[in-house]
Amino acid sequence: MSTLKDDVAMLRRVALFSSVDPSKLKLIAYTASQRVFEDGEMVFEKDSNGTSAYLIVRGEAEILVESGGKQVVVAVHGRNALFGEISAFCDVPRTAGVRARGQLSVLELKRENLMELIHEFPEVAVEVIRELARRLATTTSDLAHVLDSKETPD
Amino acid sequence: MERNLLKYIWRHSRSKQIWIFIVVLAAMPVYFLMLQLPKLIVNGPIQAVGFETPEATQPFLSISLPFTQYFTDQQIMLFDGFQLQRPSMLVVLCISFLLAVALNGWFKLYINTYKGKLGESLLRRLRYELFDRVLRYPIGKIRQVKPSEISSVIKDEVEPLGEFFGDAFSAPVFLGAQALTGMTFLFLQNTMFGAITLGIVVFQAWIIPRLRRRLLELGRRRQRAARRLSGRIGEYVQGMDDVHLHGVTNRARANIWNILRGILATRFELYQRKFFVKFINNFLIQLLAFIFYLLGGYLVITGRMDLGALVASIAAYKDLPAPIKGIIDWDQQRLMNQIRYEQAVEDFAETEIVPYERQVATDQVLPHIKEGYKLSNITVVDSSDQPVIESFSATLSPREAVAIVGGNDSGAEQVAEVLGRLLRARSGSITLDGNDLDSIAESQTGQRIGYADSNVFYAGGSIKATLAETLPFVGDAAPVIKNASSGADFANYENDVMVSADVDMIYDVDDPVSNPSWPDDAFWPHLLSVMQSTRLYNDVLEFGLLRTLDDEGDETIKASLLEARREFADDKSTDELSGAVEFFDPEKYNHQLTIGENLIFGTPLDAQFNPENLPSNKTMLGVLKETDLMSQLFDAGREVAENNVELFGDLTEDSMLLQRTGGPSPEQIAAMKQMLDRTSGKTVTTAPANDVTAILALAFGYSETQSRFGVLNEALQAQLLNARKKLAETLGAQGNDCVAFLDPARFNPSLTIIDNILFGRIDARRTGARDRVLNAIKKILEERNISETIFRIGLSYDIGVAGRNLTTSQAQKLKVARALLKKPDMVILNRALSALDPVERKAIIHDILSLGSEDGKRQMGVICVPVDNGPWDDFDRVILMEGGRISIDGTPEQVAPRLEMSNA
Repeated sequence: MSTLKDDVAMLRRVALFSSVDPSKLKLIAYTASQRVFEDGEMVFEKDSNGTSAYLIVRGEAEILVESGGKQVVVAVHGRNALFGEISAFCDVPRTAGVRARGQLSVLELKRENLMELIHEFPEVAVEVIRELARRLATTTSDLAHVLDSKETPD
Repeated sequence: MERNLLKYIWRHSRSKQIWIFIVVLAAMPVYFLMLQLPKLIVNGPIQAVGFETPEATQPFLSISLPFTQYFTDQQIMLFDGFQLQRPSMLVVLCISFLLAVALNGWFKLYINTYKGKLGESLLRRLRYELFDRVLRYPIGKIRQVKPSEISSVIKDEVEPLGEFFGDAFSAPVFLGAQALTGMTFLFLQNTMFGAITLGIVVFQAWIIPRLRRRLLELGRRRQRAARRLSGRIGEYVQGMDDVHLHGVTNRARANIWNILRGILATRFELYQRKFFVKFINNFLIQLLAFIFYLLGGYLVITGRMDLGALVASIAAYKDLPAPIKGIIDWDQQRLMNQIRYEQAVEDFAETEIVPYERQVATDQVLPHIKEGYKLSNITVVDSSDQPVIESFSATLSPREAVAIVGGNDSGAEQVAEVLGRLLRARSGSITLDGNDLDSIAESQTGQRIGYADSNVFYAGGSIKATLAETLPFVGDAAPVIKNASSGADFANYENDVMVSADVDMIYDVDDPVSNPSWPDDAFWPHLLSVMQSTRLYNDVLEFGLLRTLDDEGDETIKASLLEARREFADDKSTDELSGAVEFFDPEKYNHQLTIGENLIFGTPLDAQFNPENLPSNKTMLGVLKETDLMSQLFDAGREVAENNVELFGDLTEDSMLLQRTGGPSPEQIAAMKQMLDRTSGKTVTTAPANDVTAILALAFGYSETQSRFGVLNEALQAQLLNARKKLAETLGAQGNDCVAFLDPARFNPSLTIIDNILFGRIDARRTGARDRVLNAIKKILEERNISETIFRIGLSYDIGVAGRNLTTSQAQKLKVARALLKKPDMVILNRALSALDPVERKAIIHDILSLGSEDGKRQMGVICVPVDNGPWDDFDRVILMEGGRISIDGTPEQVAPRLEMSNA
């Protein structure tokens, strides 16, 4: 069983929270709930209306996308990975399904708690914006890269 | 129903009224004697009239033949009486007076008791008759009345009549006779006084009805307002949700206030009038006194009248005002009660009621339905005279399963209601087995036809009672009925009071509702199959699992539950449940429990051992000191406080985060801060006592899985386990049983059944674990054949007022179960189970259809107005209705193309 201290240490390793003040991280950890999923159990289905983000404490999670009526594993996340944060920050249905591979322990971060935290401590928001912007920049450059490689046939 | 109160009373209590009359007449001579004796005492022995010499004697108890002096010159004496001297005469007359007083009192006692009994039994009859009429109201009428007004009429409005019934005839007779005796006596004493009195009484009789007219109107108005008040209160209570949702509590207040204000105004005017009439009465009567004293006194002074006659006249007069006032009061009561009665029975008397024959009780086994319904040219109209069913003709046999399909305005639901006699057809004929449906006794349709729609109303009580309530008849068993007059407690009052509408036999109300052995073994398999097919079995099983085994559990059940516990614990090796439950093990620290719970490791049976009382519990503190845990728990408590302050100290007071995490309140945080300051650098022995208690409370309430502050290390856990053992030993040595310890080898009666089997806590982190655990436990119970026992315990689950402890789906399933439980020949499902999800609903309907057929032969007819659009394969026949008419009637295959068309 992990204590708050362990959870805080783990949160700090997540890019999104890396520069948030440790005492705030402790609050985030406290408001998060620990969840355990058995092998093959769905954490959430695609298109469901979840509002939580999850941080993997132990075990692995498979990201599933439907393709031709079949569930296809497109990625596997391991320890310290964060998933589900898109739905946690904005009102969109889950873009993919997530399933436990082996026993999976996660920290569930609820949207209302994240939002409240941002409301209460605006410096958290700055960190979140910074991280999201960094990701957007990465995605944009990735996209440009893909488009470039498409436009220039060999 | 009789509209005239006096006629109603006379019709139902004639012989008793006559008996009272006779007794009253018998009491009259005694009353007369009581008036006469004082005069004889004053005139005779006291004033010495006839005792002029000391030796003089007078006759006592001489009896003469009346009126003989008019025919002969001399009175004919039958008995000359005893000759007595003056002192003896005084004693004898006084003793006679005492006897007369006693006898008179006894008569009054007898008459009043008799009247009371008469009044109460007549009140019982009236109330019963009114309720009987409610039972016989047509359904359409009963849906229009306000329940609270009906109960107000039957319970409150007729109540005052009870006091009047006994007085209805006897009081005027008794008082009239008294007044007449008084008058006669007065006339005998003095004709002039008699005439004056008569004049005044006649004047009273003329003036009072004139003063009273307004009074009667006010009485009517008061009654109507009171009834409206009770109706409105009932409506507000029933519709309280909307009152709150729309924020109209103040409108409700204003509404009720207005009615109350009106009632006060009416009642106050009523009082004024009533007391004014009383004032006039009293004044007129006292006017007589004035005349008596003035005129009588003058006549005595002038010697034209002897003092004895005046004293006797005044004595006679003194007994006159009471009876005359009584008669006037009685008349007032009569009028008020006549109004009360008229108003009360008005609505009841005007409503046409169904004939008594339809509800006659029977202890005969009723015939089965063989041919079923035949409807020809049925037309039904709604309240605005618009046709909802037109020219509906069909036969519906108990050997087929028919779906009557159609939308909300198709008339399909109304057809089902007509079949269930909840709706009356305007024209056309409906027969059941060839007999007019209207003429068939309700006992037959009640036993042979099951009906369920989506409206649910339950009176409350257990599931068992709710199921049994509608079961005077089951299958081919004769109805359980007993003789109404067999109640020994009531034998004294029964006499002839049963009303014509009543029956000498009433259904045995005690059976089977309160019968602990119901359902009996013969009925049990049927109940199980009905509960299985309505999918209520699982719900009831879960209700049973959540109960504790009170006295219901015998040792064999406890033993089987213990075995189930062992089996479940062994089952944990399976992948699904691994680690989902942290079992109660006396040798292990349980992380799902708080420190306090881990220490006592059991359920407190004494409030001293409740979690909030542990920090001040002497035994507990003793054990902690003995095991050197005080300072450690003190440190742990401080650590919890520090963590809380660190986490929440910076949050603003109105922080949503603080509220949402269910953490301590801002006040508690502030208190913790101060407490930490006060105890900083101190130990458990030097810190203030209050703070030690508060800090220990924090430690006792701490659970590692909930808060994760990392307060509990392995060493502390081991010490706590040690303390747990010490506490158990200490309590055991004291012979103290204020804690029911969690012993894996023993059944714990203070835990619910499911907790006894589970014997641990489900890990809160595992989302799907609860369902998996429940299913595993149910499987074990099923294998061990004890799930039926637990189901039986679940049957005593309290469904709450109006069934509020049930979900709408459960309530609707229960309604269907009630319809099926009586083993009907035909069951009508009118959009039943509408609250269920389609998959479950279709499965239940499918099961009901197969329940009614054995080896492909249909035993129970099913008429179903379904909620869903198909499938129809299970049905023998489908009738499609559109706009109140049948558009097609045939086998599912024949109807299918048309159904598709109408669906599209």
